[in-house]
Amino acid sequence: MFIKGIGLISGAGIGLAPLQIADGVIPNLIPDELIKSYKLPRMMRRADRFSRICAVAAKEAVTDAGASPEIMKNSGIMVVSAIGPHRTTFAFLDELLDYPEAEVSPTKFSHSVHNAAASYISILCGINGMSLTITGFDNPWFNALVMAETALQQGSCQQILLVGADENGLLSKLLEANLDKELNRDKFTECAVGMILSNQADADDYCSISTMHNVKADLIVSKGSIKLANGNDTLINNDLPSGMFGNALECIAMAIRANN
Amino acid sequence: MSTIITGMGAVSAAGLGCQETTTRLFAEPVTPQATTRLTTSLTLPVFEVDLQSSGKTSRTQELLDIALAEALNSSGLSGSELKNARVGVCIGTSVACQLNDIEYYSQLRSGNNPDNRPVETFYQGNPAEVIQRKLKLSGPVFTIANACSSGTDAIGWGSALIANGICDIVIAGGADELNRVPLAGFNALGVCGDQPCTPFDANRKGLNLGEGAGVVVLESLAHAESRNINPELMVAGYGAATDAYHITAPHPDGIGLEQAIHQALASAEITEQDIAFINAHGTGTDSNDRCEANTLGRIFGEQVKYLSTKRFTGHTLGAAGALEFIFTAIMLQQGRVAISSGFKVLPDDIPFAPITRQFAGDFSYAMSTSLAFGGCNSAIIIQKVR
Repeated sequence: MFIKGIGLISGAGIGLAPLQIADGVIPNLIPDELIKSYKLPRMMRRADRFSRICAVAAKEAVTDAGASPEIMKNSGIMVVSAIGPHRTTFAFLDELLDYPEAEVSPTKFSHSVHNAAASYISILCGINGMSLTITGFDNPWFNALVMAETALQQGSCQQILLVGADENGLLSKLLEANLDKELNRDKFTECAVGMILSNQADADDYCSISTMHNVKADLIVSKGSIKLANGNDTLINNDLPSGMFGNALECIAMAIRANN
Repeated sequence: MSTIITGMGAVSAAGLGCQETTTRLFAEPVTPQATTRLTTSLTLPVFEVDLQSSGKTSRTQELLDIALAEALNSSGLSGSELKNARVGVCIGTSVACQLNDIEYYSQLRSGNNPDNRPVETFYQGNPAEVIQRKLKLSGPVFTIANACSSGTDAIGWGSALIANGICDIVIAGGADELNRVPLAGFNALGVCGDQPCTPFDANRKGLNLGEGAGVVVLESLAHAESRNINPELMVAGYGAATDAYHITAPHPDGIGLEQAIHQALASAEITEQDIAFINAHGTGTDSNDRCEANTLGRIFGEQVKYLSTKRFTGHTLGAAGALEFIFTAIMLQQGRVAISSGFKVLPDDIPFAPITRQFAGDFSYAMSTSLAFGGCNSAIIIQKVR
């Protein structure tokens, strides 16, 4: 499959340029002012922070790809996250602890559901194809790429908008103390990454990308002989934070390099 | 899409195991009661599984383990066969992808230093990853969090992994325990009924939550034949589409559901006339049942034969689609279709009544549909091949 557009919001800023300028030194929190400064339509006025960063990455990827509304209508949306909208989950737990159960906020509950972000993105980008939200701790980004490739091969949609996102917050802090250090997953890098993927090649594509299925979570990004295997081939530099979406950031870095 | 179903396991209020479930589906459902397990002021009727939790892991995992053991046992797959094949895992859930231990969170919020076990249980309890570790599998792993359609989507995309040659075997399904967070959340949304649910009925008052797990073993035809398996059931088609309308409510015209159904029919290379019956999502809520019944009526016409099995299980969220897939498979195997329990009176906003009398036949195809938060819609078709 081919990468047609990339969108990104991270502690370094919105888009790819801040990431390159940051040269691997990426703050692990996205400033709230940065999220608020990004103009999203009124229908997202109640959206929580997680849905908003996902929406920013999605919108940026669609714009970057120059995808028409007609193409987006026939596209699918996939959102992948290790811990999802956990800040909203905890906000709903606050409701349960602070108020009578019969008076808790339905809005907080509905936003704590993992696929709320995918729902917002489908409305925002006019997507009517498949919608899939995936969670996992063991290379969720790579597995999501496998599923995106599967969905495209099935032919049920023209393109896939793949969004990977995780927020830093209380749960990520709790998890950092529990993550397997040997797997080098000891830091969460808060970011949302969006990619438009398609089986149709165009001259403007960043690069092609394919997954190897018989070896767990291995991946090949290719334009010529470039490849990435399980995040071991870091391309920005070795200081890139290696949280859940360090792999996604590496993937983006590879795509940029392949394109150059 | 031609994926063989070689194993099934189910646990819900309808029964522990497929055999008990089969008996229940053609008999009277149990009556939901206020929860005896959760500490809550809400007295809503729910469908709990009669299972004493060990406390060693999450209840969702315990339910999943039961269904997994039955599915693997019925598939006849040995450990070495699993080890030597490309085996993927797709499991749907809602509760297991959140850390929503209220007591732990309360302690944490109060500045205390509670035992960290809930965090470890959450981190080590991603349902698909648990199965992968437990069975030492090496294929791709997906925990699918598509709310109420998660189980259907897990089986649908699991089938796609086989159809596309990525996996030889996929363990797919869904699991969710009854939990205070969705109980209070669905109640806040005003969709919970205070009586046993009555899907598609004129007096429907809302859903009852439930809990359970359903697991199926899917295999490529080549792999199944290499084990001398004579296929009986297969996943013939799957479709998924999103409404792009609202984060909780379905599109009133059911555009996403209609697209998903047409996609499923196209991928099965059959028409709507080939579908013998549809096991609908049928939650018993006003908007779901109206949207779903009207969409089914529009596509399948006045001869549509559809039912809901929610009166047997309650709404089991991430498990619902997987359990209903298995119920559909059971009815195909049995050659008879259960009634849409709880239905009595056809409302003005629904064009055709669901099934009110059991019927038998030599059916070839049946469909199961799911609608979910986020505008997700899924349809999956099972074929009986012998």
